[in-house]
Amino acid sequence: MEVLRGVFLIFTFWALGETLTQLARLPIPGAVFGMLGLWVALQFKWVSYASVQASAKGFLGMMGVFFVPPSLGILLHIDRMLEYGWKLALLVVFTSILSGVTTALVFKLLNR
Amino acid sequence: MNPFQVPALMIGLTLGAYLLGQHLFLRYRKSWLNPVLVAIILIATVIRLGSGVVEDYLKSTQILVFMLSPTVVCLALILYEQAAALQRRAFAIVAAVSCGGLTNVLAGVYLSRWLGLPEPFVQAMSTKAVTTPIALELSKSLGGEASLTVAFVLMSGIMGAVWGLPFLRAVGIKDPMETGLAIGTVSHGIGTARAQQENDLMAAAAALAMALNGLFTAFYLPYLYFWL
Repeated sequence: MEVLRGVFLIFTFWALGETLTQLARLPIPGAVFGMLGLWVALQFKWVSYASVQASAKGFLGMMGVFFVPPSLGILLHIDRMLEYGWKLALLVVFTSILSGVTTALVFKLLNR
Repeated sequence: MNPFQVPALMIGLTLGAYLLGQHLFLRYRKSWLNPVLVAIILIATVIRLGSGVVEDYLKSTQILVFMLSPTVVCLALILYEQAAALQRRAFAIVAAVSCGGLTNVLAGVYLSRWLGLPEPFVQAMSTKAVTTPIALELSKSLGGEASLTVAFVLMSGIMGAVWGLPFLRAVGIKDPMETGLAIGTVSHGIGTARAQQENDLMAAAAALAMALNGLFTAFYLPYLYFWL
């Protein structure tokens, strides 16, 4: 019962987000707006924390699993990517380091 | 019977491989034993040894990919739990994530052009740090290749989830908030899944960074890209 109600609420917010992006023709997935919407609803106590907790923790606990199949899609492009092998690896590593360190340093600087 | 076309078998294989990865990670606490990475390697090996086709596996496991969307909605719970810590630092968070995200786009586009990569790769580099569904939408509006875009997003995610934390620690960035923001900005959902294994504040910072970076990039990239 409790899990069912939580899943219902989660899918309702997803549907609301999806409706918003479709109507406004935004290039942003409905789930992202659904997340922001549910956050706002929790803050204003329109939705109680207890009503979504059990279901949400269930989904979140499996989050990593849901990334496994799309990641295997990389294999479809492996030949093309290996053509530029070291360049690609270097680029992804270097730009990620640059971006991650920038994020952390800007936050550190502004949060003194 | 082709086992790679049976959803029950392929979903079971995926869950089992992930569980094994999680078990190994909890046991040995080595970054490279990331459950997503372990599962990918195991499944790729099974497909190769069983002379299966990747497309069959992907079709059989569609339901797992579908579950990503409601899971993103559930991240609201972590944001709610950590709201007090996040709200106090709202300005610094927004500034840090937008600077980090923009750095990734600019460095990605200019460096990959400088190294002479073909245009579809350059486009994929520009969207690699945003969460998969947003990257797909952006790839559509930039006229890129959808599956190549996804491949780059996942590469960026897996790399950050596996080596992000040890790297940041090595350069002296240890604060859970700073680490979470960096990992969420660079490695979106996969990084956020990794942050959940550390602590709640890091997970909340990563989830928020993922959402903000995705939102910002979605708004400016379609306009900015044509100027680069």
